[in-house]
Amino acid sequence: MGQILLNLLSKAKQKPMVSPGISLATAYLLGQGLLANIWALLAVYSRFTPMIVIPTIFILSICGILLSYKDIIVLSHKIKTIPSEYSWTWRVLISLVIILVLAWITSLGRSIIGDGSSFYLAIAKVIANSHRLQPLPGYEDLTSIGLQAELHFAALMLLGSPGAAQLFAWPIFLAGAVMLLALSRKAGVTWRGQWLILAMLFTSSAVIQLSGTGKTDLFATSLGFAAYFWATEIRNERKTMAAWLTGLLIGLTLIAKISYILSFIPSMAILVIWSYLTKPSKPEKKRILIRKLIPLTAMILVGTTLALTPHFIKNDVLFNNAFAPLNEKASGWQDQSWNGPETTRRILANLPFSLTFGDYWAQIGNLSPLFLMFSPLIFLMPRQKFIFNNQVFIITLSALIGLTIWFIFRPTVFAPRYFMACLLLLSIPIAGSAEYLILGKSKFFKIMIPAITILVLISSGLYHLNKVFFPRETFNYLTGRMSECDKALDYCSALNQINQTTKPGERLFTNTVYRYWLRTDLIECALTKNEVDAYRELESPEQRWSFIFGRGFTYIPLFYITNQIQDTILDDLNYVPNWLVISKIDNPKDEKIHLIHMASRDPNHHAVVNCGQIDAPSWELVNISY
Amino acid sequence: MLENKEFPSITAEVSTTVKIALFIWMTAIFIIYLLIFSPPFLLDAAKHFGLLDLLNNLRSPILLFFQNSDYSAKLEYR
Repeated sequence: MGQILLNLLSKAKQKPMVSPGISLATAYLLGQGLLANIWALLAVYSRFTPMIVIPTIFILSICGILLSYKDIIVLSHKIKTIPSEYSWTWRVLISLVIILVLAWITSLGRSIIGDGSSFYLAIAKVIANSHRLQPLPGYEDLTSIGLQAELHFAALMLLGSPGAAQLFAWPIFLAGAVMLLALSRKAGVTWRGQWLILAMLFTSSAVIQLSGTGKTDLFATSLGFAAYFWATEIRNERKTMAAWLTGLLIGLTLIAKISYILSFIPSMAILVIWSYLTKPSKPEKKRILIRKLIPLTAMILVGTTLALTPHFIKNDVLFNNAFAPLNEKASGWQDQSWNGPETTRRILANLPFSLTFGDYWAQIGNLSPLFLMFSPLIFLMPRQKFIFNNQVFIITLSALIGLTIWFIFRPTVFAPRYFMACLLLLSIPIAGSAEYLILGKSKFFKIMIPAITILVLISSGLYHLNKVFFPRETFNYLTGRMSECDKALDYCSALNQINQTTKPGERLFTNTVYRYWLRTDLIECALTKNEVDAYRELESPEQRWSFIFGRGFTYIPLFYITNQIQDTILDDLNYVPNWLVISKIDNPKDEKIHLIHMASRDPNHHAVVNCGQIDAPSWELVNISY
Repeated sequence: MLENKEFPSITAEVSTTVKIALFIWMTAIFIIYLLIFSPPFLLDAAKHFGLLDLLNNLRSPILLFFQNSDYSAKLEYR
């Protein structure tokens, strides 16, 4: 789909496209974003069925191959020819980078954890099996964010490949890395610097730790890189095409991660304006230049709006609020606060060390130490007279402004994945200056820079072995010696027992974050956010038991990682009313996990809500009339 | 071919003092990195040579300095 659009846009000018790698990466990222938009519309209108999804994937794959085969052939020839100028040190460094890149496959043996099991893959599983997109019970607010990766996960699950869904962020990030390298090449960085950039990306635990978890942050990072690249293309002859692509990619990036609105948009604005004002065509008067900037900006805005439209439709259909969650106070998006004042002060005072060595709440990973090690090298670069004409300077400035805006407006939210595209953009000036010094006369830099990079690559790879990379488990999984459930020993077997014990449509009183392993109907019929809020308002055990039973819940799972609701239930088990019969079902595989079954011995106490199939195969809550 | 050669091709000489300072900087960052994110082989080697206590003693102040936190967090959001 991306390739079709690229061909349409480039043929308008009859100009040759960019290099095959950039063309393929752009087409891939753009295509996946647009396809996700189509999946979103299909899912919202309950048309995400195998009859539609499978032929669509088949037809688009054939079209993609037919339109890109020339680029693929040229690219494969380029990859085969390794330049002889690569010394053995660089060959070792390059081999280690390639090993780390390929090691991502082994995160297939990793257990799906955290947000992946609670939301991203759980909602994908529900969409795949119910063929429609509905707010996920317990995570209704989160369903209003842009859904992109989740819909691809759903399509891959529909094709019977949850493993492909788990690994899907990997090819996406590779395409993103190609775009970042393309941007660095435009800024003058050659092959040594580009391998250093790859080493910096793939030794950043903020990147590595997102592999195989089901988290979706790398989609926005990759689309962001592509948007940055095309923004700087505006200064060249293909400015109309570049403006359209920039707009579309900005929209798709925002769908992939709404938090980018703070850091990414300002840094993009700087790049777009700079790119236009410094274009290497004949000099024009400022007034004419600014007048010409207006239609270009309009193209970018229209492109962004077009890309965002399916997201607005989705939110309008599901929540009657097209602009959710931005204009919705209840979602908590506007007043996020992660760390207290003391910690926030510490984080900000320690920048950039906190980005490299910090381990704060929900941070999930750091920058590669190579960023910090090589950053002083920037100051050894010779000063240039016309600094504003320098792409490296503008890239650095735009990244720093984006990051500064983030830390001004969201100082307590410290997580590299929230501003990753902006942050990793800094690899260009850092790797560029390292390369500049390697190419100089001094042997110190020729030895020190590759040597320390090799050491970091080795230690990072070994540190993440059996934390993120699981080669043995992946082999066992791929050869059928290990099931999907064996990867998550802690909970999957217990949740499987619940799947086998309960009947279709029965309600579980739980807001467990491990819901991915539950049967789809159990996820669809689980505890909703409104029910949680109503439950928390109740004052006595009698009221709470009446509420739980009245809302049609028949089972309460109790896990060993507890939460406020589970603590209340454990207390209330000492005050069970006479009309309610409670029976405890032990888990044979894990004595710490229990399932509580409820039944009424009094016909006056009955459920007023149950879970039924009105629009099969999906399940939803239905009020019972007596 | 490069579309735009931003980095100048002639490099200036870098003084020995700067090189020593850079060597210390890069090595220090690497050691701190290794201490915080110790790969299993480092821990095994330290244990084998009876240096685990020394490693932990070095590690504690670094962890305290770079990762100390009151963890007063509340909201989960992607």
